[in-house]
Formats: sequence, structure tokens, C-alpha cells
Amino acid sequence: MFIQIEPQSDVPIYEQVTRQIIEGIARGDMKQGDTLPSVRSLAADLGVNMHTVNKSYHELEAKGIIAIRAKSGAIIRSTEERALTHAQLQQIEKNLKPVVAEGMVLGATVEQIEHMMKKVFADLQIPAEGV
Amino acid sequence: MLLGVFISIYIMTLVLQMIVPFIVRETIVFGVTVPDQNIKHPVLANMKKRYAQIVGGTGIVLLIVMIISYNILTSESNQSMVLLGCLFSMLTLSMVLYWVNHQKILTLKKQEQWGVNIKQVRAVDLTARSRDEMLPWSFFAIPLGIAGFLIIYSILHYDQMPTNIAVHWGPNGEADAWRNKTYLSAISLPLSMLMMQCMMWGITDSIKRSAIKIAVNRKAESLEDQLKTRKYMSWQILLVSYALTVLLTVLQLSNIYPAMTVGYKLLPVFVLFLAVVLGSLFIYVVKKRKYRVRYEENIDSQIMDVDEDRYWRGGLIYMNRQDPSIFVEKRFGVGWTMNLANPRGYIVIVLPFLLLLLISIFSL
Repeated sequence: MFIQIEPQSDVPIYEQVTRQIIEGIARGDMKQGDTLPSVRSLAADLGVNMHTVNKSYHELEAKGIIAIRAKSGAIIRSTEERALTHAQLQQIEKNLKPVVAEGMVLGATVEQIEHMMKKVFADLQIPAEGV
Repeated sequence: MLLGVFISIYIMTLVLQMIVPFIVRETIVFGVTVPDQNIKHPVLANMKKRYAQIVGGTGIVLLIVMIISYNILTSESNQSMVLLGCLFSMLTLSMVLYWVNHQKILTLKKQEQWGVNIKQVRAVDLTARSRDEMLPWSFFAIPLGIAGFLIIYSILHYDQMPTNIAVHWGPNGEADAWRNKTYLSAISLPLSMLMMQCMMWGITDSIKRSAIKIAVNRKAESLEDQLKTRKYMSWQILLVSYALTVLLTVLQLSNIYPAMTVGYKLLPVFVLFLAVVLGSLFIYVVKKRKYRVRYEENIDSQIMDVDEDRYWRGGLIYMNRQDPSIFVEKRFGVGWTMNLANPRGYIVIVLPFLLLLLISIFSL
């Protein structure tokens, strides 16, 4: 699975790495039990500091998406292991709020935003079904 | 003999110099990053062709000069001076041409604003590491063991060694410099061998830890190229390490058992060593060219690889503090070069090299 980062983007690199890995899992490019490369090798391949990758992995761990084990490295947790909790849902809602608010201010309707949500969902699911 | 060995090295170097622009990444031309969108600019192909023609033409003239003057000149020191002079003239010429072309492309890039409005992206394959086929460290530990064994063996057979120990050999395999026997000079040869093996191990290990770089617009092919390059590089270094071990082991044993040196018995070992080193380099270059990503035309894309020109002094010396890689592939030349801004590289490469230098100063 490929990830792409833009070093000159306003989004910090660790954030870009986190997002791309999450998207990769959502798309089904990476499955439960798959291991992510070691912090050292991913940092080398990306040409960034090890702390950047470390930060991203810890964020993914805090979100409950991966488990970091001393010997085997960073492993993607299974769907049962990462069962959605109330707190996680609240967090997602919180993250969505500014985006939806921006849409409202610019005049997007509920239907339009709902449609967008469905489209994003479908886009992520298409490649997974193809496999 | 001297002429034969020297000319084969010269021709090898000349051919390498000529084909360098055609074996390095097509997106790096004379040390300048060219966006995928401009890769088929007509000036670039012409420049490469001209470079190869001038270097090749002058190289052949120098070769003729070498052969003629070798037969005219009688003193050995004059002969070797001419041979070395010709080799360095050829190398200087190719460097000067490189520099001129480097500047020309930089100007062109600025004038035509290559890649100004294109997003720069770095791609990574998360599964690439699990497909990396570089040789494990244990392969490099074997020669280290041999060197260690040889040091102990030499100390045990110290009394048996002659009072003058050979420390330098001519191209025909005959010793031509000796030192008084001390414990240090007795083991200096296997000790330098140990340092060289450590360096080769360090280089391989550092390459393994260095980036697998992928071209964003040609991901699958460039990944294949990278994996193969790494694999063949580690094989080549291993082969050179083993060849060196065999050569130096034989030389050290000939110090302990002087009967081995009678006649030209050592000559085949020298020839074999040279053949392995040059041959493996040749195979590496051929393989490298085979897996090189080829571009048929300019790529129409909104993204390009990250332009790292500012980290390359003159397109030759790499200094990037942000990059954790110790080794990066050369932009002009065969093989890898060090990231001079990474302190780890100094420990792995420079330290054994300094030790090697110290051993040679004190015992050779």
C-alpha cells in the first residue's frame, strides 16, 4: 500500500501519515493483523525525523486503530478489538463539527452535506469491494 | 603486465564515465532534478549524447597516447607517471563537462520555470520493507570471523615468521616492501582486513536502513528498481568482501609459510581478485540499467517527486540534516554516497577508515 505526503503542505507531516494510514485501512488496502513498517524504516523512507513517525503511530494507538507491541511492532487491530466506543463517537462528532459548520455558513443544505458523507463512504468502499 | 592491468582498469573507468548519464535516474540529469513533465526536453538527450561523445573520443586518444608513450619511455617512473596522468586527465575532463552541463541545466530549469506550479509529493510503500532482499548481516560476519582467526593464528605462529615481513605487493604478485618483525607488523595485514570488512558491513547495514525511494508517477516500477538495486548492491559488496578476504588471507599465510611465494604462485590470486571486483561492478551496472525506470514521453501529471536539489552541493555532495538516511543513491555515478549531515555515517564509515589509516601509518 502506498502513502503520499506533501512536505510543503500546511498539514503537519505526522497528521498526513496518520490520515493516510487510516484511509488505507478504511479502503481495505491494509487489513487487521497487518504490520506497519518500523518507525525507523518509515522515517527513512519518508525522509523525515523518527519523532514524526513516532507521533503518528502513537496517535493511531490512542485512537485504538493500531496496537504497538515491543517485539512485533505496530499491528492493525481487528474490528472486534477496535469496537466503537461512545467516547470515540463523540470524538468523531467533535471533529466533524467545524467542517459541517463551514458548510452551513457557506450555505450548504442538510441534504447536500448528507450526500457528501455518503459519497465519501462509497468512495472508500469501492476499491475494497473490487479486491 | 603493468600496462595490461592498468589499461583494463582505464577502459573500465572510461566506459563507466561515458555511460553514467544513461544509468542514473532519468529524472536527475547532470545532478539536476528534472520534473517528470519536462523529462523529454530535447536539450537533455542532446547534452547526454554530446557528453558521451566528448569523453569517449578524448578517452580513446588518451589510450593511444598511453600505449605509445609506454613503449617509448624506458624508465618505470616515467611510464607510470604518464599512465596515471592520462587516467586523471580523462576523469578531470568528464568532471569539467559534468559541471558545465550541470550549470546549463540549472539555468534552463530556472528560465523555463520547470515544476514551478507542480505539487511535490513523496511516496512510500508500506509493504516495501517486507520485500527487501538485502543479505542479512550474518553473511558479513563470516569474513570477520576469518580475520579474527587469522590474527590469533599469526600470533601463535609468530616465531615461524621471517624477520622481514612483506607489507606491500606489486601488480605481478611479488612482494616489494618489507618491515621488521614486531607483533604489530605481524598482524597488520589481517588487522587492516578486519577494518575493511567492518567498513563493508557498515556500508551494507547503512544502505539497508536508508530510504527506499519511489518515483510518485511510476510507483510500481521504481519500487522494483529500488529493491533490485539494494539486493544487487549487497551482493556486490559481499563478493568484494569475500574476494578481499581470500586475497589477504593468502598473503598473510605466505608471510607465515614463505614457500608459497616462490615463483609466480601468488599471481593468479591477484588476477582473480581484480576480476571479481571489476566483474561484479560490471554486473551491477548491467542489472541497474535493466531495471531502470524508462520514460517514453513527458508525464502529464499534477504531481512530481520532491525536488531535493538544494541539499545537493554541486549535484554531487549530499547534506540533509532532516533526512535520517545515511546513504543515498548517487545522482551522477554508480553506487551510493553518504549524507554528510548525518553523524551516524561518520561512526560507521569514517571511524574504521581512520583506524585503517592509523594501522597503515604505524605498521606499513
